[in-house]
Amino acid sequence: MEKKLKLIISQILNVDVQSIDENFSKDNCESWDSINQMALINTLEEEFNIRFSDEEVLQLLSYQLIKIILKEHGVQ
Amino acid sequence: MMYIGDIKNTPKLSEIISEVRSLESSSANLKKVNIFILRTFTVEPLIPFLKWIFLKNNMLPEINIEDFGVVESSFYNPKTQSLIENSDILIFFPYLDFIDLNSQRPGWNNENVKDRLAKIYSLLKTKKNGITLSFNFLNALNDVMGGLSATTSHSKSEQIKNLNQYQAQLVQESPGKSFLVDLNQILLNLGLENSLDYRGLYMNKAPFKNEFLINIAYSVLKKALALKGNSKKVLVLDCDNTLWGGVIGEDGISGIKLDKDLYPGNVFYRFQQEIIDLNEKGVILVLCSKNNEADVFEVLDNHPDILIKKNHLSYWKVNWVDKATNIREMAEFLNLGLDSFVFVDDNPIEIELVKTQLPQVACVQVPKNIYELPGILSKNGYFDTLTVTDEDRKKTQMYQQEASRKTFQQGLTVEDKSEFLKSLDLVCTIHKIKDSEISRVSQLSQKTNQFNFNTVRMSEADVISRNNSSEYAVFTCHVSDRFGDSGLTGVIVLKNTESNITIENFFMSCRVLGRSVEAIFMKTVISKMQELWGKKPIYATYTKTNKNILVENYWEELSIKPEQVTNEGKTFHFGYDDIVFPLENHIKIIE
Repeated sequence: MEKKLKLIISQILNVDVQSIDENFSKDNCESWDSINQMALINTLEEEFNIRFSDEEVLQLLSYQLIKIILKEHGVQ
Repeated sequence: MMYIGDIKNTPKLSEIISEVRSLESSSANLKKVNIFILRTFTVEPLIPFLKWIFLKNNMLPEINIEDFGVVESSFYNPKTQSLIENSDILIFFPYLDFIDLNSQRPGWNNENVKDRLAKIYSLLKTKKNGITLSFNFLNALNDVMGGLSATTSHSKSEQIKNLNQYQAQLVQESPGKSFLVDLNQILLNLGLENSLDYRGLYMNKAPFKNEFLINIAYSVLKKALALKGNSKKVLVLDCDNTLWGGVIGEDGISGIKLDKDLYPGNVFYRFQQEIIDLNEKGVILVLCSKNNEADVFEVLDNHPDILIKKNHLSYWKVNWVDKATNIREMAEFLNLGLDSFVFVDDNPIEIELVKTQLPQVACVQVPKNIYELPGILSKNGYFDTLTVTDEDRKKTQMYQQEASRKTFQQGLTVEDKSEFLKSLDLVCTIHKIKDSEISRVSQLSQKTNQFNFNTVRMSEADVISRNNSSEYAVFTCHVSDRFGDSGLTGVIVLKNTESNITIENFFMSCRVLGRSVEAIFMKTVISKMQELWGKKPIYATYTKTNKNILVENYWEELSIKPEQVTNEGKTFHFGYDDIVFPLENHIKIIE
């Protein structure tokens, strides 16, 4: 899952896959703006075939948080 | 060329985004299209789709978006003023929040919104170049009037319907320049579930789902394509299991399925209705069927529920020759490029054959579920044009006249050729453009690919500005003969510069070529303008495209040698007296 997730993030935010580490978040990535945030959420839902709750949508602000929430949805 | 029907499944957003990046990195040679968007909601999710669909069609969009809610003031801000003016396509995209929030209250009416729209459209009209594309309002969902809404004039849904009509009127005030996309049509096609994203709407003011967005992007593309002159012109139809169910050669006229009411004949009846509608819009109809000609025309002449008759057809090939060969011959006969053809057939082998041998032809396979046949042509958007002119409506007739001219000509020997030309009673009416001709001239510039020296497309606004300028002269040519009136078929745009008279634009419909009209038109126009602008040298250019090889040697044939020849084209510099014009005594010229 981590490999696929990194690939998605790199595609949507237009960053190098290598630059995505455990600290990667909205705060330290310039292209992670509110528009790309929407695209990211839509793509994650599409790719992993899940639907985030309203609360989760507001929490998906870093690589770590996305990983945790995806796991809660049963994504391996 | 991609049409919406070619997109079977909406690609995933991540795929679109990465494809856009790779296409953008190799886009150096693509034609740029500037798009500026005025909006009242988060339109950004549309951008990847818009870029994708334009790049897929070999255009590079440069998109700028105005901030939220500053529609009117962007016309006064110098920075956005230039973005507006320099855009090829200016998009005005309001969403329901454009309508004030009191709209949920009983007794609400749309007067304030109408006032604002009127003001905005008066500003949109000030844009001189390019086109304006507006979106209308989604019909109110969840109307509080419930079942009473359709009969209550102040219900929100009735008020919005009324508003959409009003907006359509405002758009129609600038024909050829301002266009409207009906969002409700897209909503109807896709269904609510696939269209609206309530989470996006309330969290981010982004109300549309991806599938809806791709359809919006496509509607913008369609306008851009029609503007560039890429819409299809000819519909090639198979007969058995396409125009009717069954096989005429086996089932006979009483056995085939074609019926006003009864399934499956009613499907084919409806399909024929749509084809007739397209024909009235100017689409040229031809038949291409493996059959005995007599069998097919027995149906066309005598079937009680047939709608497509002989008089709708410009040409037909009913024989046992393969369809790729037939279509190639049709293109030659009609003098139209293969890429303006759409071919409909039920046989996958025929479709495959045409696809491989003539990749420029758009192929439509009759669906397995026959009830999906009606609507298939409009869904694909092949025949979308920006405007429909009277000439479009008369096109079938004109191509039929051309067919009888050719048959007439085939019976003559070469020596008879000049006699033949004389017997045509050709009349050319040549004069400066009239206001009533502006829309036709613009359209001809968009559609003409073969007899077109520089392929400069002119919007109606472009034509008007040249017509109003004393530096320019725009001439039109109407051709008629004993077989009928071909209408406005030629345009020359001249520019008066200090040192010469430049032929900026010269294009003609291929219908009238080969009778020296193309030379006589030029002769008349140049000699007229030399009287006015002085006997200056003439400067002409030829810009090579994939399609205009027809005019490559036009000037050489009039004894003018090129000044310069490159891979891109040719330039010519010459005096009027150097031109050797062909004899013209078979043409009567009216000014």
